[in-house]
Amino acid sequence: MYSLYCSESRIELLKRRKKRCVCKYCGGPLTLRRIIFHDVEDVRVEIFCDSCDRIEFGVEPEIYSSARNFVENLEFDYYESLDQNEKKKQMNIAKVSEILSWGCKNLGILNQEGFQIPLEMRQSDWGECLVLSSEDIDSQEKQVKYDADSIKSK
Amino acid sequence: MQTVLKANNLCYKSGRRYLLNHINWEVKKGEHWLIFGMNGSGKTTLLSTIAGFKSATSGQLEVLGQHYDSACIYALRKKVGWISSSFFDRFYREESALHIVLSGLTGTFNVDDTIRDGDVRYAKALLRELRMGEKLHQPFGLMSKGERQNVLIARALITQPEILLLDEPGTGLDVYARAHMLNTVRMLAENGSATILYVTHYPEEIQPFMNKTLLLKNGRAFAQGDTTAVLTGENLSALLNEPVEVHRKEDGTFGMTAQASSHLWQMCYGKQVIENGQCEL
Repeated sequence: MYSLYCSESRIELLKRRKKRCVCKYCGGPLTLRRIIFHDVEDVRVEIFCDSCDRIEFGVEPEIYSSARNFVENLEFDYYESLDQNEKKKQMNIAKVSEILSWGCKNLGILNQEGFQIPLEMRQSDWGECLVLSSEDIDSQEKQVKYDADSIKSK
Repeated sequence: MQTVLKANNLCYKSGRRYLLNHINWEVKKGEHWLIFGMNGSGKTTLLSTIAGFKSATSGQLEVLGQHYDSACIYALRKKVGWISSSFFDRFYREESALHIVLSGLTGTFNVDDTIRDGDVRYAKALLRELRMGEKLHQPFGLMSKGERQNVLIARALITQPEILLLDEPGTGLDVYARAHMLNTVRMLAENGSATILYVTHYPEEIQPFMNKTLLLKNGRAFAQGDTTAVLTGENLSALLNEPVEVHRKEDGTFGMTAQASSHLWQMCYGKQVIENGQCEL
């Protein structure tokens, strides 16, 4: 795999990745930025996250979304010694993104061109909450009592 | 002896100014070079050209028998380890120590899909060896100068390079870290693992294994050859435009004494009369 860039233009690979992936820290769009001047066109650019001001290879958006939900909903904290702030949250999301990407690659469903199987993201599992009113709770209690009574009578 | 590096009329021009001015230089296997010159003499530009991160504006450069082109640049960069805080400080800020060390394996500034699990383990082991184990994920911009230097040392060594370029590697390191770095470089040189090109401003870092010396002045090769012949008081006095005494110690290391003038102190704190922009000392 180390001969990757000799067989095809690195810029083409980076362009596809820029189009498809997001920053694993902030989830923002990636850009191609000229880093250095050089005779060899291929080596001048890197993928960059403008909002993080960071050279960043990016992750698949589905992975970022899952990682963000995981960190937010399960309070995942890899960096316990750091103060709680937005930066730490982003670092945790990036860490989970790395783990998820690693897992997907090992399972053979993710490669440098993205996911190799159709994905069906279960949006409703995370990030939504059900608001119950006191009437809803009362009706549920009645239901439970009714069910319990019917069981006893049997 | 095999030629490791050959520069033929190598020039790097920025605007009208030559940062490298017709450098002719050859490095052979088994040679370890000290590169010495004042600030702005072209040392970092020369090393960044050799490392493949800058392309010369004219002249030829051959590294390990190859020229930097699109077919081999990434592979060749990996054979040339490069430690230069003054270069990488301009590009890395938010990137973690681990990211930067792994980027050495891709020959770019970034980490990509080619990184394997073993590479990550090796990068972590190198950082731990350099006492950076607790800062694997810390952004480069939040590290001290010495910590950044250690990250770049790990980045350079992760590919087990055939040529190691060290651009003032001792700057910012604490006493232990500098001794550790110098021992590592000495072992690499003595075992023949890598050809060393070492830039320093500090005479105490000049080691006996640095058997050749290149003196740079205003982008030109001022003098080059055996260290004992080149690193003399006469040469350095002419290089620095100040009287310099050089003495070789018993252990093979060098010492230098320079008598720098203190006009700045006099201008700031001494008695002076300033009229129409003129300063009387």
